Parts: sequence; C-alpha cells; structure tokens
Amino acid sequence: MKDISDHNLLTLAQKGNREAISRLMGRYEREIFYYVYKMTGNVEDAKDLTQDIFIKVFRKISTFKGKSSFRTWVYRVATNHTLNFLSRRPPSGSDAFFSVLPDPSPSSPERIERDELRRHLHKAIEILPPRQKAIVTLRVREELPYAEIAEILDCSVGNCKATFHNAITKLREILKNESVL
Amino acid sequence: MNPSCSEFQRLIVEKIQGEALTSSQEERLASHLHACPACRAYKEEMSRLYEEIRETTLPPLQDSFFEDLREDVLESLSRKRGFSFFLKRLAQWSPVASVYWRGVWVPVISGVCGLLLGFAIATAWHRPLPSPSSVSSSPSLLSETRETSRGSSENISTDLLAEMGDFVTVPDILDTLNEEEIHTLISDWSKELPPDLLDTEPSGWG
Repeated sequence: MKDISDHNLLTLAQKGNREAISRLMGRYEREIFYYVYKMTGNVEDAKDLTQDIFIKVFRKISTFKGKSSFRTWVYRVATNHTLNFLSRRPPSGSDAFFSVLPDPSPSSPERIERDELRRHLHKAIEILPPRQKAIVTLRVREELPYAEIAEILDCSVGNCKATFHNAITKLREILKNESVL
Repeated sequence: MNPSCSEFQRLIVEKIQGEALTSSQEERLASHLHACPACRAYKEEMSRLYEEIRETTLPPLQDSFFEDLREDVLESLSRKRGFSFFLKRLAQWSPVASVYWRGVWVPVISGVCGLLLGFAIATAWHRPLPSPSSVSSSPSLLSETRETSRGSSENISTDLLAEMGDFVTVPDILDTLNEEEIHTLISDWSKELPPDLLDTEPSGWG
C-alpha cells in the first residue's frame, strides 16, 4: 500500500479501511503537526490539536468531494481548528519560533542583537489577528503558494496578498517602534 | 519617501517572497531603489524580517511521537462518541469557552444542568393524573348524567357510542341505563359539542 496514490487511499478510507486511514495520516501528520506548532508555539497544544484535526478529517472524509487536493483540505481543517483554538486561548508564553536551541558558541554582539529581534518579532506575531497570523505562517513558514492559501482560507488570491502585506507591514512598524529593526 | 514608494514597497515584498516580477517591473524597481534611500532601507528591513520569520526552530521529535499520535487517532475513530465528547464540544461552544480556561467550570455547569434536568424529568414523571374511573364514580356527575339521559328518546348509532368510548369512560354509568337511554344521552351530548370536536382524538379528563 506504500505506493498507492492519495486518491486511491482516499477511496479506501471513505469505505472505512483502517490501513488506508493510517497511511493517509502517516503522509501528512508531521506537516500538519509542525504547522499547528508554528501557529500555537506549544508541543502539547499542537499534539492535541493535530489529533482533533485528523479525527475531524476522517470522520468527515465521506464529505470530501475532491474539489481541492486532500492536502489542501487537511490544511483547511487544520487552519480553521487552530484559529478557533487561538481565538479562545488567552495569550500565553508559548514560543514557536523563538524556541532557540542552546548555542554553544560564545554570544557575539550580532547574536545578542538577533536574539533580541527574534524575541520582539515573536511577541509582535503573537498580537497579530489570527487570520493575519495564519497567512504569515502559511506563506513564510510553510511556503505555500497564494493560490493554495486562498483555497485554505476561502478567500481570493488578491485578498490573501493584501492581508499578508498588511501583516508584514504591521510587524515592521512594531519592530521599528521598539528600535530592534 | 515619495507617493510612488508605496507601489515599489509592494513590489519589494513580492520580490522577497520569490514572486516573479515582469521585466518592466524589475527595471522600474531597480531604477527606483537606486534613487530612493528610504526604499533601499525598506528592502533591507523586510528581507531581514522575512528571514527571521521563516527561521523557525522546530522541536526534535521521535518517530514514536507520531506513531502514538496516529494510534490515538485510530483508536478515537473506532470509539463511539461518549460523554467526554459532549463535554469537549460544550467547552468549544464560545459562551462556555470564555470561562473554560479559567478552571473547572464546564464540569460544574454540566453537573448542575444535569441535576436540574433530572429533577424536572422526575417531577413530570410522578405528577398524579386524574383517572377516568375516579371521575365516573363521582356521585354528582353520575346523578347529572342520569337526569340528562331521561330527557330525550332519539336513536343514535351504537358505533358512535363505541367511537366515543374513551370520552365517555363511564361503563359504570352505562350499566345503570338501558339502550334507549344511552342513545338519548349520546345524542344530547353530541348536539352540545362543537362539530369539529367529534373528528378529533378525545383527550379524556386527564
């Protein structure tokens, strides 16, 4: 079953084939987990959310009509679920992209400056509206094309581009005001 | 920064993302950057910002982490949705969600709602209903029925009597009357009743 295409696995999964469900999940679990982790900044939250996302995906798999790719559909469920979670969650000390591993090299002025920038950048991203945060994550960290982001967020490509531009401009302004950029 | 800078800044952001610009846009942007120090600085800052956002440190996770995750999902899929699922959905419901994170409100509220619901069901279940036999055995009603039955001598189909059996519910009364009296009684009652009432299911006295 290793070389079976997504489409064939989907057909089997829609019939309730456990092996097909397991294979499909195996293909996307890491990608979705790390995407959710980048959004939430917390391993435990990302694990719980990823579990909920895949349960939701496979419970509703019979409704998947194949208008988009399965990957895009999973991203869409993941984004909606995570945005819903973020809108309920109080601001936390979570840190996805500032979780810098200890650097054994001595701290140079450049490194200190960069750490400072990352710390402020993380805080700035945390206060972005959830939808802007999702677009920044999907575009910059996941490197998805705008056409796919538009499908995931159910909006036009132009709207996605404008939202991304607003978000990154806002980040720049915050960091400039804090004199770290 | 002149008014046209905003247009070039949009192009700069697109270029940083790796979007393809037309050759005309490339030329105009290069020419503008050469002449505009503000946009040059903007480009530097945006490039740096973009790189910093992209550079995410991911937690190192073992394969077993994902295998366990997959097993949990498969197990959940094979399980039926239970009370914990209901509680989870309740917690996700926005009015409840706002207090969910503050503590254990969901179990407390659910418990109170459950108790109230149980009390309401128990109360409704044990409410005493008046029984037809108690009504039929009422002396005042019995005498009133006898009086009425002697007033008229019209015939009425016994089918109607059978049809109205539940409404009358007075087998004890009927035992004391002859057939003609019964027909008369039914005839008198049916004249007093609204015509559409005979078409409906009688609800009895309860």
